Amino acid sequence: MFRFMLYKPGWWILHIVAIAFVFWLGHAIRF
Amino acid sequence: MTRKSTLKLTLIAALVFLALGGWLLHLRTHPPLQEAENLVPFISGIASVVILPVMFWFRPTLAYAYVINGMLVILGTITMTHFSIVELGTPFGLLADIALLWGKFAVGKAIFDLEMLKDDKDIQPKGRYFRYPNTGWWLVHLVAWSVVYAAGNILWK
Repeated sequence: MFRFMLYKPGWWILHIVAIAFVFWLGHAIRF
Repeated sequence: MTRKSTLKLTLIAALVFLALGGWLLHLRTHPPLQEAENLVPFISGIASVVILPVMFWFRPTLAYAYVINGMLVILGTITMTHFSIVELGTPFGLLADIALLWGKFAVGKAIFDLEMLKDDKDIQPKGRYFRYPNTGWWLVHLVAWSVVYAAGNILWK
């Protein structure tokens, strides 16, 4: 179940960048 | 040309037409030069019409095209639902547009699955629903995107 804890550094970097981007997107988009 | 590549070409054409339709609809209702938000569908649309079909065609970039296509569908679903909640007062106001967008997702998945096919008797592997490249993996990403996007919108003013 928690095998993703063993994922490679690339996976972690991608996800940290992606989460930061989506978080910023939520902040930036104001309708 | 094999029947498989003809089928693949047809599916890529379907993807281009769906993406082009969505892009042109956005151009009319949200001109990209008026507001910065309108750049999101403008750029996603160009990527879907021009770059993704090429990436889907070539085997080395196929998996990337599959992931980017699905992520753009998730992005569109979340931003359109957000827009609908703010402007129309209901999350279901743009359901028709979101439904069309998921058509694009299905076409992208069909291209990917077609390319993964060994022969016509190839049986769909069971289990691992939440693992890449299965549908559950997309469900996880849709939920995670929604949570992170909502957090950014609510917590970071």
